[in-house]
Amino acid sequence: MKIITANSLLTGAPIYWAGTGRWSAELSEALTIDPADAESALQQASAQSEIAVNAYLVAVEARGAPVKREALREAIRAHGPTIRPDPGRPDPGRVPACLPDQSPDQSPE
Amino acid sequence: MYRYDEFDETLVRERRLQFADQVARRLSGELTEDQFKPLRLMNGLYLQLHAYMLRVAIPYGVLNSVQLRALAGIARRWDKDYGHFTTRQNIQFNWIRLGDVPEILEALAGVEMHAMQTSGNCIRNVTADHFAGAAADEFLDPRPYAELIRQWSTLHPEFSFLPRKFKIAVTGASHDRAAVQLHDIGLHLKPGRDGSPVFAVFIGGGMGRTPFVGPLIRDELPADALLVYLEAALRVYNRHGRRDNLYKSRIKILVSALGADRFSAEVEAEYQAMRTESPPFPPEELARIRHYFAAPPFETLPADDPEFQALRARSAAFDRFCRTNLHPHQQPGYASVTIALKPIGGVPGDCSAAEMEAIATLAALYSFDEIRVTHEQNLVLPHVREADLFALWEALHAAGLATPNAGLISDIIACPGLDYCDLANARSIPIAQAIAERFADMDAALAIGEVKIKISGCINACGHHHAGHIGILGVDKQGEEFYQIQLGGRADEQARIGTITGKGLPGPEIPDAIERVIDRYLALRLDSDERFIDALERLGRTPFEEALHHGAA
Ligand code: SF4
Repeated sequence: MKIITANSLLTGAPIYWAGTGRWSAELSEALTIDPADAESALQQASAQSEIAVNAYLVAVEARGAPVKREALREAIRAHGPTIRPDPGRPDPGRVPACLPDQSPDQSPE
Repeated sequence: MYRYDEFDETLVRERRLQFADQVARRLSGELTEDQFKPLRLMNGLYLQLHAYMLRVAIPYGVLNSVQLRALAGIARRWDKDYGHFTTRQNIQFNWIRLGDVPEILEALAGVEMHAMQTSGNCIRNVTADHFAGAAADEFLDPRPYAELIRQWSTLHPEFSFLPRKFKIAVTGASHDRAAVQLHDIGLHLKPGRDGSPVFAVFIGGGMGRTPFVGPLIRDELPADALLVYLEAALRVYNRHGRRDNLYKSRIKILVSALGADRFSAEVEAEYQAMRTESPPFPPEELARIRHYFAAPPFETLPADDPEFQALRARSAAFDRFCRTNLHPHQQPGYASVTIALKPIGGVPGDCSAAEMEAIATLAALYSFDEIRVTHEQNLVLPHVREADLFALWEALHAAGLATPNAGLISDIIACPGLDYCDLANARSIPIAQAIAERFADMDAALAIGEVKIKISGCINACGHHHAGHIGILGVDKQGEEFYQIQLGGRADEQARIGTITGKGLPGPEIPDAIERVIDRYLALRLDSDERFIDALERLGRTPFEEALHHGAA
């Protein structure tokens, strides 16, 4: 299955195609698309260039999580940088634990 | 410090208004993304994984406190309270909204800053020795020449459509801290036979996919012929440079294809022809520019301030800081201070708004209002009286900015990598953090001595991994991050590209692997004066490669 993602024109933030005319900031709301329909959906999504920039397809498993090569990149897009939290920096709760000894609760601060 | 003249001001204003209009037209749908993208790139605005990123030019890495405060203000108001200093001596803001950019550019213009020449196929922001005008080993301050190049390259229409981006670095010191041999053009200002200033000109260096150390193309170029010679070199490049293949279009590929001798001969012929028509730049103009870089009003002081020495003897922590974070100054009684943006567990090069403001205050108090950005992602207060060092250190300490690790193994260069960068294959920052944490004991790190670790998240090499004593390159292996390790690179006057060792390692194995290499070095070094890179060059890389890939000795 596939989903469509892009960056918001206004903020640059990752957004996900949630069906005709709708974009969501949440990966969980991305519409999963049958591979056979993916290209035409992408065309539709790309046409909304006043909302979305650089729309592209991502392969996902049945429950909608990106797979293979895209998994890490898409996880970081969806959840924010994986590096330690600091005042004003991304929410630590959203850090995917990709490097086990790098989870924020083990950092010295 | 250089101040904008009327021309600069007009140019920056026109470009800013033009871009504000372009942003408005993009937001209204009048411009398509394909039309808009090159325009935003010309203004330093990239689209990254999470947001727009604005790269602000800091010509030759020189800032005053008002400018640093303005950068802090931008971080607070339009970003998430921090900025990231890069290996190009620039600052990047990571969380920018498109509609805010015109206002940000206005705020920058208010302090004579902009984001032009930070991307695209133009002559990029010129970089320089971060101790320029201060270092004891300097022959002549290279910044007036860097400024001259900036003005010339900003003006020159012929050079805004080069086959590829073009990077120039300058130093005027015997020890190269600007990595000049790893730039498209590297300039080393030195005394000629009669003592007058001349340049050694290195052309065709660079990192990225095909790294080269730039060969010496012209020695002893009279300094006042610099622009004519650069123009000659760029003409040869424009004539032959390949525009058909992105990967082959850098000048380094041309120099290597033609051979340094032939390239040099072609430039020389062009230069000799041009020299008759175009006079060297007017000495008044250089004098005018030089005036802006005049040394600050230093006091006449004794070389070793006794109070400073006494305080060092009294405070082990202060002494510890002085051992790594001070650099000898040309003026007796002064020193340059490195503020390492490398706290253990931190992000290399990141600086919060509050930190920028604290540093701005300290620069105004103690360093004639000057701050420098280093390509190693640190900041420098270039001119501090020895008598003020203790007070400065205490203030830095209170602000959490006195990490005593400049030049040590935890002073790591890391590009933003997959945590931010759209082009990345793997993350860089968590690897830097894991290594720094492994060597968090500052006394142990001091005993290890100088080790330069440099990490890039992809082959574009923004993290200078080719030039690291230990260079680390993130690669993607079927969706998993692996790290290829190189040994023996260096960016100084004996520049060298590191050699790739064995297979890539998964991220979590990197700290152990690095520690094994360092243990091997400690076991093999002649004495504590033999640096890691010296031992590596004396012994060859085999013993270190073995330690890296085949477990402990
Ligand atoms: S080296 Fe690659 S990953 Fe790192 S900042 Fe440059 S382009 Fe991005």
